[in-house]
Amino acid sequence: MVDADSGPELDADSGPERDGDSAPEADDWYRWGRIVLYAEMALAVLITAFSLYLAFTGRAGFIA
Amino acid sequence: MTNKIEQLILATVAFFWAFLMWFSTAAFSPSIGQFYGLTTGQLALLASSAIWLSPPGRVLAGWAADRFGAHNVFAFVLAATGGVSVLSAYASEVAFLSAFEVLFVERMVVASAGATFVVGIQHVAQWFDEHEIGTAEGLYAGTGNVGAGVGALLLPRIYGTNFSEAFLHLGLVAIGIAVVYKWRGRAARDRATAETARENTSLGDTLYVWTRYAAVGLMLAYAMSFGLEIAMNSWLPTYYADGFAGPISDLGFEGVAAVQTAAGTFAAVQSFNASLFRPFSGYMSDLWQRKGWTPYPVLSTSQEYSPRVHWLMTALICITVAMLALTAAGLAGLLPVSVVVLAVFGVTVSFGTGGVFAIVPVLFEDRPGTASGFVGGVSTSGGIVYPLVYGYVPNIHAGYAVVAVVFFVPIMAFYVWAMRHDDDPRDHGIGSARRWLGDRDGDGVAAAGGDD
Repeated sequence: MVDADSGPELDADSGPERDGDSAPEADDWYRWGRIVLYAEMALAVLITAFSLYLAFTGRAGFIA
Repeated sequence: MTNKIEQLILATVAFFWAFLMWFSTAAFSPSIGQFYGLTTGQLALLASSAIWLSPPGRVLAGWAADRFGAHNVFAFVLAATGGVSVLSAYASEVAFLSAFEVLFVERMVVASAGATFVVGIQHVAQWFDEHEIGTAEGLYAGTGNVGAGVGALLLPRIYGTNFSEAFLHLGLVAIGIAVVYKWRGRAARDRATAETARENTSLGDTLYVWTRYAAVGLMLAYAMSFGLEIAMNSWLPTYYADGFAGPISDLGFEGVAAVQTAAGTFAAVQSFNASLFRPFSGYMSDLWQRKGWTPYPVLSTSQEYSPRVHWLMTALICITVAMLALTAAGLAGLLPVSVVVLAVFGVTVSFGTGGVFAIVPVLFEDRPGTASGFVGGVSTSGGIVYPLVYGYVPNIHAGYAVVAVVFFVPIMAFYVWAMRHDDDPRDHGIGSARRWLGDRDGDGVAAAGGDD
């Protein structure tokens, strides 16, 4: 796997952006977008854990 | 004055509601069955109404989004399906509308709201830049997909057995969203972008996209992820109820209803993870793109979007491994392991769905709607094919491994074959770009290419 530091330096004409410094600037929305996606992932983990807890303690009927 | 955040929120809210309507019939199946005195076969037919119009509907809707603008198409579909949903609310009260056949047709039309998925994909692609497209599309699709789970969870609790009132309210809100979408929506960030998409909607343009091996590879990858997701939604409750009847009984669930409840709870884990991790997959695609990660020597590394192609390859491998692990856990009879694997499986499916639509708008930037319609429409047939295989295999646990080996390994091989080119993969397909497009270029590709 090639990362930003050790990967070959390619410019825009010959391949994808490899250099983190030359990557396009993200808008402000991107930070909030990341917060939303992390929140959704946390929600998925919580729902999974809660569902499994209820199911494995014989109480799945509580949410189903 | 508008901005891309407003357009993203518009598309996401509208898609969430469209998904809610798409699966709202299923949420009230028992009530509808009791009201009309339906047989099991008729209930199965009613359940299938959600999928029938999806493949052709998405193909058409994607093309229409390029042609007429996503905001116009989304508003029209929401208003039309919302209106029919309101009509279906009176199915039980008005003479000729009281027949089950009429309700079936009405709900099939309402379910076509699910076709708006590709309209929103096109809309977001017309507003966001290439380096952030994965996260934007992931947030749109992942958040919208949750509408199905939320509907299944909340609708029966809010409305009980009163499906007519639910259909009425769902339809009225859909019409309201349609009005707002039409009012505030804009087709693209600038006139030139919208005009480019509008001009590339001829039959030749459509056939050009459909015949590109890269588009077929992405379509198959989406059949391997989203097609699998909806297949598992319908299959998993049966799988856990039949395949783990003993262990579920040992947990204290006695009787058909209790076993179904437990099985449904296990199955829901897949659905929520597949939806809620989808934005993360889009973000990962953006991250791989930013870092330039291209670990697979069998795939091209020279395209501007190659890291996204490599991320999707990772997702496809993960899905296949998760399928084999599901079979292994099932054959070992380990219910807790199977459910934990299922949770991971849902995450890997989200990697696939998010990964595909981080590539489609980039690869076909001048025809995002037509390409999204093809990739997102045809692939939903996977939702019908995989459960048939699961049911055909004698050992209920072995079905996942059979699908992985018989379907997924060849799909991955085709994906690698289609994406291996160091020259542009859009050059490769049935017929050259010149054959389908004349002297015009296809998505910036030299017109001379092709594998005639």
